[in-house]
Formats: sequence, structure tokens, C-alpha cells
Amino acid sequence: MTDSLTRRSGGLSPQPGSAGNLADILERVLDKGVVIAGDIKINLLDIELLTIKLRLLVVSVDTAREMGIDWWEHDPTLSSRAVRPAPSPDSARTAELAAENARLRAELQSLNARLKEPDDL
Amino acid sequence: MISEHDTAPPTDLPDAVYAYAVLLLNEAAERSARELRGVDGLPVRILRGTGTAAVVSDVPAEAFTEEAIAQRLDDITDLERLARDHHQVIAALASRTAVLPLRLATVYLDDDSLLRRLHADDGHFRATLNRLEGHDEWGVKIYARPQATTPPPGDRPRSGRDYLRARRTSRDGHDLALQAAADLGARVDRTLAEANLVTDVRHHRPQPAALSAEPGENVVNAAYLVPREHTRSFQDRVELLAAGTVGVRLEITGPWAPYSFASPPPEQSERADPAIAQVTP
Repeated sequence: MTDSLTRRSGGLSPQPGSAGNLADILERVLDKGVVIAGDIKINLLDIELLTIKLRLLVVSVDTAREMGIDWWEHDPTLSSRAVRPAPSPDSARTAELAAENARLRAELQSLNARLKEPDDL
Repeated sequence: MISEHDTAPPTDLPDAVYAYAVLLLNEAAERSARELRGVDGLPVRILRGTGTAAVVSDVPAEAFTEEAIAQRLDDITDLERLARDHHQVIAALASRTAVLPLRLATVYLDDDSLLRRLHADDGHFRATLNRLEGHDEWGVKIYARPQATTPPPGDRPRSGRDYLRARRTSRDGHDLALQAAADLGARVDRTLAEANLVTDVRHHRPQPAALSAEPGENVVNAAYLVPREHTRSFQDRVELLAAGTVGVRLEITGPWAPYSFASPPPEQSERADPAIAQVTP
């Protein structure tokens, strides 16, 4: 078995708009870069929680979309585009996705519950 | 679809200043910055300080209040748009000059306020920019391959002892793959340092496989600061090491603006970083 190696263009692609994997971009713009105090206060704790949520929710949005997992786009609490009905290629796959969907919702809910706790203190 | 960003905001509304990056005063970069579009498709301009300059957009203040930003960050579609707009400006600048990328959604009430901040951090910014000049950031992610851990199909256990043995083999296979990935990461670090191909390295948390459809478990998530003249050698060395390792998958991403190297390493920044102290509630 040969070992695979992938090369992915990250930041500096010459054509604007084709700028790499969203998970990698989010990791950098939310987690890295210089933090200097702005006038508009961004709660860094919120950013950290957001990052954690994203890590669980959309570790690789591109890959998830390629697989047809885009349920967050259909969930009114997560997206304004939720009204659009989801295409259903075949029933087995749909059922599989629905199961996954349910599992993810549960995970997200418990995560959300945990994320909210510090705020209540 | 209706977008409120398509129409220009009325002129009597106050603007805020959205900052993307800090760079050294530089005419070529200034020229190219003027051609860019930033967050919400807004024009980009350069705000000149004494030794450094900030790359900014004038944004409608009400779209970047604390609550408005929180709302944007909470919606994956808005977040993606904001992140890509922010990143696009930084990436375009980084291909022309050394930049210090700022954290997403760094917003000031006016130019004077940002200029005061530039002035206060001038020495530190200039030292970091000089250090980053002529470098790109490259990402190296190493995954343990799940295929290496599953027993061949049809190899069914015939007894309890066989079953346990198979379980142990499978677990050992998994551990071996994790170990192989970690070892490869260490080998990449060592080789690049010995060959003087990288200036610096940061090890980030691995991206968990919770929802990732990426095959395998991410074990190593490293960022290297690579002098531009070593780009090809860097890639060749890393690929060569990966090709000789069984049970792993390696991914190179880049070139990136030096996001991972814009701040001092964690142990240093813990010592004293007044900027962080100010924004923490």
C-alpha cells in the first residue's frame, strides 16, 4: 500500500475566491494572528468557545459539503438559508444522514449546554 | 437573495475602522492594497503610522458592534464569509510584503484610536515584521491511517482466544499507526531544522476527527516558517520523509500568511501581554 500525500493550496492562491480549506482558514483567523486591543470589545472567551464549537461542528466544512452533510444550512437556529429543502439522492443515504444528523444535534446540544454554564456564574 | 451589503450605507451613519493587518510602510503594498476588497466587499485603504501602517476598511459602525459581531460569528454562513473576506485581504498582501495578520474582527472607533495602538506597539511590530520578511507559513498535517488498523476481511476469529488476539492486534495496529504519525512528525521537525530549511515551528492542537470526513486521525498539526528561497527544498524533504513511512497520510498546506508566527510563542506571551489583558473581561 502506498502512502498518500496531499498538497493543498492555502492562502496565497493567485485567483481570489479560491482560498483553501475553510477549517484551516478558521483555525488561523480565529486562533492565530496578533491579538491587539480593539475599541469594540470581542469577548475572547466567546471566541474560544466558538472555536471549540466549530471544531466539533465543522472540522472540515468543505469535506462535509462534498459528502452532502450540510444540515446546518437547513437548521433555522443555525442558518437563514434553512428554508431551502434538502435534496435526497437515495433513501438509504438519507436515512444514514438523518441518523448522523440526530447524533450531531445531540452532541451539539450537550456542548451548547456545557458552553452556556460559565455564563450563568 | 437580498444582501444589505449591496447598497452603500447612508453617509450620515458613523463609520468604524476594521483592521486586517499591520505592515511596514511600503509603496508597492499600498498600491496593491487600494485594489483590494475587504469585509462585506468594502474598499481597503492604508492607514499610515510613524513606522508601520495598518490595512483597514471603513465599515458601518452598526454592523460591527459587539452584539453584531457576536451574531456574525454565531452563524456559520456569516462566519465563513467574514473569515474568507478577512483572509483574502491578508493573503493578497502577504504575497507582496511581510504582514502581521490581526485576529478576526479587530475593530476601532476611528483612525486616531488605531494610530495610538500602532504607536504603542511600534517596536514590537517592526521587530516581528523584519523577522517575517521573505518567509511564508506552511502547514503540515499528519494523519494515522485507519486502514492500517483494521484486520483483513474474512479473517474471522474461531475461538475466544483468537478473538482476543485479533482485538489486541487491531489495537496494537492503531497504536502503531499513531506512533508512526508522531514519529514522522518528529522526523520532519528534526530534518528541517538540521537542513536549516525553516526559521521557526509551531505545533498546534490536532484537528479532532469528530465530524471530519478526513480519513484517519490527525496526530500532528504543525506550522513552519519557511524562507521563500527554501520553498521547494522544504516540500521535497517533507514529501520524501512521508513517502518512506507506512501507516500515515501527510498533507502540506500553504503558502499562508504567517498567522502562526505573528505572536510570540505561548510561553513568552503568557509572561506579559497587555493587549490580551485588556480585551479579557
